Amino acid sequence: MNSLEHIVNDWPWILKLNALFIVLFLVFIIMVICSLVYLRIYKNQRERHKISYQENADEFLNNYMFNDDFDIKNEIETFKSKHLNTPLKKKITLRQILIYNENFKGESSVLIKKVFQELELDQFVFNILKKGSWYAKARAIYVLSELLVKEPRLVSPYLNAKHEEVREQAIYYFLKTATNNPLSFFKNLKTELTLWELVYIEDSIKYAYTGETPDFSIWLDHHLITIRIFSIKMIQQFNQFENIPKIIPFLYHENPHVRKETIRALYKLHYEALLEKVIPSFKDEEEVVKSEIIKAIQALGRIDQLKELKSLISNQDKRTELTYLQVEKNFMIN
Amino acid sequence: MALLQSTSLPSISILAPAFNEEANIVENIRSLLTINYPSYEIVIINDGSKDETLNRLIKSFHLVEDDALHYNFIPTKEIKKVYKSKSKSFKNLKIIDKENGGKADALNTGINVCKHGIICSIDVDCVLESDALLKLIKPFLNNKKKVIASGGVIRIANSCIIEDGKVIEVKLPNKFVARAQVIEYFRAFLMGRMAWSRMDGLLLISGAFGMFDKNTVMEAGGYNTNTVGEDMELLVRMRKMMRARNEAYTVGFIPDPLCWTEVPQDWKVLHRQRNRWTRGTAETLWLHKAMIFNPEYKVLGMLSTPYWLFFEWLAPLIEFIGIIFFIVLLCLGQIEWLFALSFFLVSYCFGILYSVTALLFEEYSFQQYKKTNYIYKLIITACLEPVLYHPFILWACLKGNIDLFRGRKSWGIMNRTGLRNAAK
Repeated sequence: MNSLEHIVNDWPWILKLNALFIVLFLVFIIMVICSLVYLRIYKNQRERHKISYQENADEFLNNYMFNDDFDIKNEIETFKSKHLNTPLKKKITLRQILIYNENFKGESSVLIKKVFQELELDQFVFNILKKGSWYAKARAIYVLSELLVKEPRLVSPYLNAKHEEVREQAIYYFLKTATNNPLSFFKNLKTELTLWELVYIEDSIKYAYTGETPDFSIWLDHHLITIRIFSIKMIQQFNQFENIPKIIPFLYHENPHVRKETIRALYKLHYEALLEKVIPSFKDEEEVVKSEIIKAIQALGRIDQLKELKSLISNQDKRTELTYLQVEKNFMIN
Repeated sequence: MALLQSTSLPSISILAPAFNEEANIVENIRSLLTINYPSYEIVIINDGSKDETLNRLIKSFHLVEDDALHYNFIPTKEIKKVYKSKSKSFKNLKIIDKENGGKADALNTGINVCKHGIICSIDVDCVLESDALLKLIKPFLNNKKKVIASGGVIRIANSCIIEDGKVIEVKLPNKFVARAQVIEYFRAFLMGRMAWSRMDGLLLISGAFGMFDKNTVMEAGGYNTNTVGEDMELLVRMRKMMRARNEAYTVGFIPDPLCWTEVPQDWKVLHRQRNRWTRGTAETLWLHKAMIFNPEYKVLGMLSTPYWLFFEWLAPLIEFIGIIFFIVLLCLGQIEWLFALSFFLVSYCFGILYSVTALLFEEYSFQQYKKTNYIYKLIITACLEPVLYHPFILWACLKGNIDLFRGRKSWGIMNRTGLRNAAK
């Protein structure tokens, strides 16, 4: 040992430095490899545990729902003490409850929501909402949405959360749990919505919300421009013809994307007077709006109205020109 | 919630160039047609194939001539014909038959002809995850800034079991050369690109699978046909253009594995690929040399481009000069073996540490290689890779630089086994 120390002491500084790095890297390599092996063993074990917890939860839920001789009160206490004593067990049981909730309707669905509360898993979810990490919060809100747990005050702050995944789930929660006026959460929004969120809201209204179709015109004067565009689009998608007079002023809005969406909505709603309002402004319009006006002529107008625009398209504006030629060709074919 | 049924998601044009792909083209397209996304078209660009590629397509998909209008926003080689299918089952399939002009020219032709505002360029033989398009489009829709491109993690499909265009079982490649590339891809995607994307410094969206905003691509002038690194060059040019316009923008990166590709299992083919990548990198850096160390480009100028210059392009040259110097010293009997060994061990240990850390990232996040013995095989590969694989890559990169100075422009033939046939 002393002789090794003696040799090392005689080394020049660069060798000592290299030796230090080699030892350091080797230690790190061994640590990383050990972590790798540990992680693999841990994950394998966790998988095995998950399967066994899942079987326990399934057995309990099946008995709870379909076994008339099941002593619910005692069994719930036993299950809580034996099979819900770790967060992982609670998560697996929650997952199974969500699967049952998705697959059963009617009375069974009511039972599933009841067992969720009797097992006090609602408190577990509320705690995650209060203290959990953002991804756990997103999952917790999803659970509340699916099981229709009405706690809007707890979820409402997450409409403006930093992480998009949390915001999405909060939006979904309000749409899923609403019985009427599903877009009331719009009044709590402070920042513009992204296209993704708008698609998400649209799809939630179509496929998750089960109440009466809302009147989208009430959001036409919202301070966020994306909400206005969304409302115009929804008025068209849900064929709210009665709202046509309310969206006409948006043909003259300062934002070209609002004008574009309004033109599209109006020609899809077959608003006959649209062309006389938009053709005169064609020359000075932005490229995105010009293409929409041409498409409006295809939907509502005649070929002579289209040809009037030909001289107004700049040679540089190839995309508008291409739209023009495509529409002209469609007129010829038809 | 299943957004996959949404009618409001933007439509996507998938562009896949094909050159002499008669062996697998029909099966590859059938696989692409099963992608899960509400609205997309597939545009196959037959880049003057000399084999039966086009005839097979015409026969298999009942193609007829398509007379839809298109405009050559980007100048390309002549289009002979555009085809669409008579069959309603393939109504979103379009085939362009054109004069041979290379991959970049084929993609430009696809951009001119396709009809949607978002384009997705892919290698025709890639296997996509079923929700790959949905994941890749998300950055475009979920960002307050304009997104000009997005990419995802690419995985190695060699030896995997693939059925009906889907990866059924992930297996570790049998051959060492492919296994070494597995580690290389882990390092590149799970560490490198992830980190660059965090600081918005990505300079490369892989040509095998990337999504772009069509208008921005057209405004930048499309793919450069004079470089073999067209994927990197396009993104760098787009970013440069956005900076010049002073427009807020970003490049998205999805950390999930979205696309499976076959990597070379043959040393010769690997040599050609790396040779080409080196030339592509050097050409791109040369074309955009004004960006390097230019503070006007912020992260791109002060970090990304210098990184590519020193660590991607110059590193093999520096390493080679080091080896030459070592040989000269050896011949002159001037080697201090203790010093040499210590330096070798430092770099060797660092290399292994870097690789095993990438393995740890993979194990912690995706853990796609499920079998326990795969992890041991990968650790052994990580230990052998610096001495068995890396010197070969060094040589290929060096040869790439020599070829670049000789003015070589070709891609070289990329023989592939064919994932679907091989794995079944």
